[in-house]
Amino acid sequence: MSRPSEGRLVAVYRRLVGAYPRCFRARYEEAVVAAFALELARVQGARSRRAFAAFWTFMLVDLVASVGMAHLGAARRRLAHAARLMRESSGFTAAFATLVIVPVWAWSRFTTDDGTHTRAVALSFCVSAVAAAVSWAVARLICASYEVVRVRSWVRYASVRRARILAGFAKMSLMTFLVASATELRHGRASEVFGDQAVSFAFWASLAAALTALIGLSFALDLLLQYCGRCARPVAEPWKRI
Amino acid sequence: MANSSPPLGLSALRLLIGLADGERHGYALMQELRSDGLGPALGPGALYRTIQQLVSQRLIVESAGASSDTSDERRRYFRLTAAGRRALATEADRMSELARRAAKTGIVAPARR
Repeated sequence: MSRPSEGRLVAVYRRLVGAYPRCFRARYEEAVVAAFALELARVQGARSRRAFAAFWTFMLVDLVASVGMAHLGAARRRLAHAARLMRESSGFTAAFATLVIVPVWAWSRFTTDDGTHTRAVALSFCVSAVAAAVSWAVARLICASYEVVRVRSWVRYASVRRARILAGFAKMSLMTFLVASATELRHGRASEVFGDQAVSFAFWASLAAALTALIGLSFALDLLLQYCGRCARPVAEPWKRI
Repeated sequence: MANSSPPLGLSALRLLIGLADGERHGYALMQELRSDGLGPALGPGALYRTIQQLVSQRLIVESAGASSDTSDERRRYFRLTAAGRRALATEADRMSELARRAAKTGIVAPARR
């Protein structure tokens, strides 16, 4: 059985190198592939099938291990950078304090002895707070890809920041509604809680209107963020700053 | 002597030693690490990941060696920074101290000068 050509093997390896994080590839992809090609030429010269198999085993183990470590390292650097940005942002501090205080307050205010639907409301606050915090963190990670280099772009950057926080709160409200109503429905307590049929209808109608408005707001915020994202100047080599 | 800096990994240390004599490109480092007998050989992925770590720690920097060498423009050249030299010296001190303490136990022979 003849071996595949050297160029084809290098192409296969280059495809595998695509598994590295983008920041790594942007800097070292060519160098990694070049080193592989040189090693491959050395092993091809040996013309030993065993050496060839050992070479591929070594390269694949190296690739799998280093890809995993590179992804871990990249995630760690991004999280550290995001945490640093969050600490420096007073907006985040306010948002975080709100997200912590509201569920605690809701829990203590609404919990009753029988612990039925009020507990669900408190739970929904907790869930929505976590969801908002996570969405905010993800948004900040995305935001970290933009850097401010001129005074004018600070304004746009601040807009992006505020919009992300607003989006977080909108999602928090949306989640609160969704989780609370789903929990109530599950327990069949909607009519009990909201009285007669007319009240129940008004409740569902207003819930639908609120959801529609929130979804619309979410889309509007996304559009705003996209606009702001285009305005902000992308960093040429963001991995250097992360 | 107490060192507060975290110890470097073996691969990182071997790379720094490899760069102690001057700038080199990645493949030359890979070949040296294969033959230095101080640990396992590094593949291209592990090599450049370690290089990336050292660059981010500012212990080594990419140098302009590639411009003076036209053999392969994909080669990336690296050299030690002042911080890298200090880190290497600190790590060497730490290793010497370890070797000295190990020798004191009598289990291993003292290092020859």
